[in-house]
Amino acid sequence: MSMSRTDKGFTLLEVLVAVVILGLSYVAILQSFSLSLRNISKIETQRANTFEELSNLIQEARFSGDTDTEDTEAAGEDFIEGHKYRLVLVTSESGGMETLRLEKI
Amino acid sequence: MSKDTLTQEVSEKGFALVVVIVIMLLVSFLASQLILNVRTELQVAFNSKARSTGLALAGAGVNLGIFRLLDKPLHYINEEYESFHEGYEYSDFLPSGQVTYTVISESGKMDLNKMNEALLKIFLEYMEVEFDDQSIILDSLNDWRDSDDLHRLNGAEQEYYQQLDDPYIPRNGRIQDPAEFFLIHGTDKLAKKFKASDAFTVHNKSRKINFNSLTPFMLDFLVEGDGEKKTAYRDAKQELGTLNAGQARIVLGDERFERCASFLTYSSANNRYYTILTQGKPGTSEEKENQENQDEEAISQDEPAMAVSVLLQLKGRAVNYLSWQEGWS
Repeated sequence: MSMSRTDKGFTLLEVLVAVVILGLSYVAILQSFSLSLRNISKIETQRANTFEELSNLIQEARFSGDTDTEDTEAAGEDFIEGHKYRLVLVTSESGGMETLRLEKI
Repeated sequence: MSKDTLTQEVSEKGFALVVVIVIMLLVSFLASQLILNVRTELQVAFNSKARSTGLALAGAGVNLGIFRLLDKPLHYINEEYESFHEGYEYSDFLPSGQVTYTVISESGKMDLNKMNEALLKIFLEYMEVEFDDQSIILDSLNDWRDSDDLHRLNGAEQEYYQQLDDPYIPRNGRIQDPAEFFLIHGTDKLAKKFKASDAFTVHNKSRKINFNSLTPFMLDFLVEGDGEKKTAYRDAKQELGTLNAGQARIVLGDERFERCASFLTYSSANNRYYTILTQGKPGTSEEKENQENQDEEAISQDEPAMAVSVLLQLKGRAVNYLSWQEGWS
């Protein structure tokens, strides 16, 4: 009698319930994993974009007295206008960053 | 059923629970690591954005500083634009944050190539360098600049620098960069106490210091760290713009003024080399700043700001950048 008790396994119902519970939790965990992974890659792309945007912005804003700036009207709004120079507000593509560009009048 | 059989039966049944607990622990560990990873990435992204925005703002400050040097605005945005003074910190707001900028003429620093020894001695005294070490620094500085390999009494030449753990050769000519000061024998006692470019320059045409264009560090040196005198200097600058010898005497006090008067000048003497110190504080708006000023306890020093220090030379209508340093302030 003792032998038959020891060999007795789970009932079909128990196994089914266990499989369903495990399956559901597995799916939930996998989903959150993939969501987090997607978030990470999104954040990384954004970071790279921000860096690229900044370098473009700085390139645009760099002033050297030797360069001639002909078409400056479409560039952005005036911040200050002086007698010989003006400062123009330059905004990055996403609009999150701003800097000033010095231009000759 | 014996007692032993029962015990065995119970422990075998519990094994599944142990396996499940171990797996759950493993899975929750992985999940927590992932959450940590996401949080770190988010923080890195936030810092990176703050850095970029701050840098763009600080860059705007540089251009603003150059504009203020080269031109006068046609319309005044605020009353601060009516006049412009070197060595005074100005502040402005762009939609994405606050810009502060200070334009300092290089004439406000000590020139390493034309250094007045008496002035350097006063400076070293202020930095609490012992008398013996002072003469080591003075002699070594002269040895560093002269072209020969014969050292003065307390000086050092190539043979000394060559036997160091990381050997190098002395300039034996005109100093090109203020940072060279810390390569000179004896200056290790001053290491990390100040930044060479805050006190020294290689672009001051005069042997004197321009009292009207001092870096915060040079102001500290002249007033010997006295907070009240510093406030007096800033107030006088704000009110009068350009100070003269009489006003310098009032700011420094009679004793200090007598000591330093012969090293002070009150104009930049056509020096066209400037340092522009700017700071970009992203996310700070004028209203927020006013609110913080009203409620002094609420002032948060934690907000990240990017600082840029630029050395430039104005050549007519052109600007020649000589150095550009950036970092968190």
